[in-house]
Amino acid sequence: MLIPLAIGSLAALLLVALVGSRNMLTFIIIEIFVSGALALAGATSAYPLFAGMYMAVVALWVLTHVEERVVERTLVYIIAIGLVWASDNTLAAKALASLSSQILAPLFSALATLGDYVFAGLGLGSLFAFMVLTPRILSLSEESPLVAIAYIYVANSILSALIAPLPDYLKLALGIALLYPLGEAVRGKLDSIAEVAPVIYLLPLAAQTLVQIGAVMALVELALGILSKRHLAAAAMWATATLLVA
Amino acid sequence: MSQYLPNLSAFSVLIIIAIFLPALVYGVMSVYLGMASGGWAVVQVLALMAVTIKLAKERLIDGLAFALGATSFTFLAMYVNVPDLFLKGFSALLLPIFQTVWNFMLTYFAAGIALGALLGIAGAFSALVTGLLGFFVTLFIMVMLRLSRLLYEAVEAAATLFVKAIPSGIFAILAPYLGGMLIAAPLAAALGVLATAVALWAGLVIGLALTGFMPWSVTAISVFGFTSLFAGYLFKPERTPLADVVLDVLALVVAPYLVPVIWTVGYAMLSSRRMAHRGLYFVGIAAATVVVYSKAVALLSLI
Repeated sequence: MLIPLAIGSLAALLLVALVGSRNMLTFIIIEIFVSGALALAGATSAYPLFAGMYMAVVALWVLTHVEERVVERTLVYIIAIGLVWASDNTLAAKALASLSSQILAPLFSALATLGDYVFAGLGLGSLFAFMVLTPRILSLSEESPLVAIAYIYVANSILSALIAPLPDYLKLALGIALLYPLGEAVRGKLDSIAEVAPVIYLLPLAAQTLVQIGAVMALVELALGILSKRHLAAAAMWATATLLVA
Repeated sequence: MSQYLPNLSAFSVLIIIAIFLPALVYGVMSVYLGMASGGWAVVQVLALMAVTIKLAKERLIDGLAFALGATSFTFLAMYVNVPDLFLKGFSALLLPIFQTVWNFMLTYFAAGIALGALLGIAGAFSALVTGLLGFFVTLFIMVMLRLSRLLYEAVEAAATLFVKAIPSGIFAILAPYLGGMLIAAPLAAALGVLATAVALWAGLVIGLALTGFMPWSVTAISVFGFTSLFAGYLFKPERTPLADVVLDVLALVVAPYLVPVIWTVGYAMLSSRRMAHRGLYFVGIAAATVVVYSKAVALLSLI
């Protein structure tokens, strides 16, 4: 939070674009979003614990994947990641979230309206749209992690409205059932993360505890995100979920 | 046989929903009779929670859809006429058996008359043979009684396999039909066997009377044979599930506030592999009670 208005993030993006590889740009963008979201949720204190892990992961990745200018690139990546975390990204995170939800929202509303005509019910139509689109969106978000942010937003808006009128005993049952996919999500399964992240508030835990869990999950997945896009999407999902819980 | 099958086009709305959201239809059907009043609802709550967790373990959205169906979308149940479905399933087994039993009865009635006439012609000697004859007739009926159990198990196995094979949304709609079939099986077998036995005994008595040999002792033996057979047949559950079915339906008719509990728990059992057949039976007896009540109400309003 040292550098105001995401100027550090902009510098990091420019630095990576000029010196680094194009693969790394997506990672930096998602990192900007995660840092902003965690700042908005009030969970930045977890980051220093993972700083060493970042350094190690970035160094390992460069050593295994990059063949020339190894030392130079390692320095650039570490500086870029440090710059992103040093700057105030809350505005950037908000902008990224609204941008990505605008990509998916029309698709959902179109399908939900169709569902309303078929099923003659608002909740039923949106549930139908969610059921039909979920697998497609998940496979899409493995390619471009920005979609993962929108997925959590849309899922939250649909599922929370549907869950709210349920009686308490069924909410409890869903909360118990949530422990199974949560266990798998901790082991890094994207489908389970997609199920858990939008409904994590169902768990009978305090919001602050949930924020901490979500922040740690997002940071771990972000570190692994250097290795695969799948984990990068998961990091974006957990950051969004943390934002929604807080 | 197609006239015995339910007309699925009547449920087209539900079937379209069942294709996309099978768990939702399952939830809607499992609280078709609503929640029980008072503390008995706890049992229903447990069953609903169990199914919700079971479905949500595989896919969270399925558990959510089940929970929504059981609470928010219960109005969808208006597309299903459970008494009608039950009666369809009930008559699907009973009607064809009635038709075959009629031929059976005529054959055995004729055989009974011939046997009775033979005995009558033999005269006083027949008094010695009566005991032996009674033994053989009883043995014959006991052999026929195995049919009841066999038929019941066959229907149970077929219905359970069918339930496991089709999608969960569709079996939720068809469960009352299959339950009716399951309940009709022991009834149908009982009716078939009893009718045959009665025809044989009646033929015997008439044959004796025709040849003019009908002392009171023989009449007494015939009547005693009828009643003892009937009683032994009805009230030996390990030999036939008929008494089970009749007594269970009677118990539910006496205590109607328990019917929703039995219904919901039966539907919950359908999702389990080991208890699915018992679940069909639960749904069947609950639907039978609903039918008994609707018929009683219709009769009372007629009066």
